[in-house]
Amino acid sequence: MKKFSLILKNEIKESITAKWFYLYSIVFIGAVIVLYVTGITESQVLGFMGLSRFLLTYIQLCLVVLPIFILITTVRSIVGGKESNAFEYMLSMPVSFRDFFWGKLIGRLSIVLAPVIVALILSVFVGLIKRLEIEWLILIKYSLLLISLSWFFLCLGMLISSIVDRQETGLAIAFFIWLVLILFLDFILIGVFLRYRINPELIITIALLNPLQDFRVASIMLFDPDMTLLGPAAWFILSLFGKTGFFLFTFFYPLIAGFILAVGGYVIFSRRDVV
Amino acid sequence: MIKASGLRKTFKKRVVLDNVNLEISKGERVVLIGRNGSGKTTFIRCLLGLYNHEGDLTVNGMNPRKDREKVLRNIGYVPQTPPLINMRAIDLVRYVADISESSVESIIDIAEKLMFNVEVDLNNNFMRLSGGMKQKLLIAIAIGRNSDIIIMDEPTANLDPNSRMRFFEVLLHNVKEDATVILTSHRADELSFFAHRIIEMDYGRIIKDEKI
Repeated sequence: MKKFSLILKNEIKESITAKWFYLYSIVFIGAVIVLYVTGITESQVLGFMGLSRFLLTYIQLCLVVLPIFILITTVRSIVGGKESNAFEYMLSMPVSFRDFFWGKLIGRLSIVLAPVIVALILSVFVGLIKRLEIEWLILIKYSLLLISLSWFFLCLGMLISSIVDRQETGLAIAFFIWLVLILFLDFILIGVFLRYRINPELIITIALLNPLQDFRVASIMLFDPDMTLLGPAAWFILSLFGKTGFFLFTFFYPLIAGFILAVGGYVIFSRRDVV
Repeated sequence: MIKASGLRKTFKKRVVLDNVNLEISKGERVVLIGRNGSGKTTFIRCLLGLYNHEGDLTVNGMNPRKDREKVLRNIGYVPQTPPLINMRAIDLVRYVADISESSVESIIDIAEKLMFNVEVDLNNNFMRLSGGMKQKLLIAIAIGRNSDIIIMDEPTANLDPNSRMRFFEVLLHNVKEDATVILTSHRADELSFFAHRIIEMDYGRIIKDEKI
C-alpha cells in the first residue's frame, strides 16, 4: 500500500507540472469564468436560467471536450513511459506491476477530475455570490455522472496505452473511438435507423452501450424530466428504465465497464515487455 | 547469485540473446563488453525483469519477472540513456529512497563525491539537467542505495574525463566489498582496474569469458 500511494503521489506531481494539465485546467475553469462573464446565467433558454442554465451549457463541454482530453492525455501514459525510457528506470525499482499500474491510474483519475470538480465548485461559489438558486441534489448527481464518465474514458485510455507500441497509434485509435461515440449520439443513430431500417432494439442497445449518449440523456434528464430536448432513442431508453433506474445505470455502467477495461489494460501491461 | 541458462530473447523474428549461459557469484565485479547490438542491454533488462524471455534466469534463486519486488530490492541500476522523468532531482532522490527503503543522505553524499552540483541542481527538474549531471545523479542513486547488486549500463558515456576519474574512485571506495557489480562498456581497458571478470558478447552470445 505504501508503494501504491508513493506511485499515486508521484503521478499527481508529474501530471501537475505537465503542460497538458495547465491547458486542461484552463479549458474547464476558464469555461466557468467565460460563461458567467458572458451572462449566460441571466439568459433564459427553454425555461432554464441561473445555475441550471450554466450546468446545461457545461454538459456540452463535458460531452465533447472531457472524453477526448482524457483519452489524448491518458493514451500516452503507458506507451509514452516505454518510449521515453522512464519505465525502464522506474520499473527497475522494487515495485510490483500491480502497484505501478493502479497507482498511475488512480493518480491520473484525481488529476483529470480536479479541474472539472474545481470548476463546478467555482460555479456554485459564484452562484452563491450572485444569489442564484442552487439545486444541490442536481449538482451532486451531475458530479457523480461526470466522475463516472471520466473514469470510463481514463480506463479506456489506459487499455489503449497498454496495447499499442507507439504513441501515434494510440492517439489515432483514441481519436477514432471518440469520433465513433460522438457520431452515434441520438440524432445520428435515428438517422441511421431511418436510412437502413435497422431493428429499433439494436439501435437502443447501441445507444445504451455508448457512455456519451448515456451521460447526455441522464444529465439533461436531471434538468428536463419531460425530455423535450432529447431524441427518440433517449425517449425510448427512459421509458424502459424510468428516471431513477436510468440514472443508476448511467452511473454504474461506465464505472463497471471502465473497471473491466482497466483490468484488461493491467493484464496486458503486466504480461508484455515493459520497455 | 545470478544464473542464466539457455537464456534467449527475440524481438519478432530477430534473435537478440541466443542461448546465454552464465553464472555470476556474490561479490564478483563483471565488465560486460561488446559492440552495439551485441545483447548487453537486453541481458540487463532481462535481469531487471523488464523483458519476457525464454530459458531460465534467476537472481538469488528468484525469477526477476515473478518475484520482481524481492529481486529489485537489492539491485541499483543506471540505464544507458537517462530517462525522461518530469520531477525535481531532489524529488526523484526522495522517491527512490522511499520506494527502496534507503537513505536520502547517503545518495546525496555519493552525488557530492561525483561532483554533482548538489546545491543548485538538486532543486532543478531532472529533465533539464545536463546529460553528465543526470548520469552522476543516477550513479549516486544506484550506489547510495547500498544495494547488493549494482548494474550500470555504460555509466561513463556522458561523463567528462574529470568526472570519470571521480566515478572510478567512488566505485573503488564506496561500493560494498561484497556487492556484485555488472558494468557494461565498449572499452574493457578503462574498467579493468575494477573488474574481476570480463565477458564479451556478440550477436547475443557470450564469445569470451575471462577472469582477471
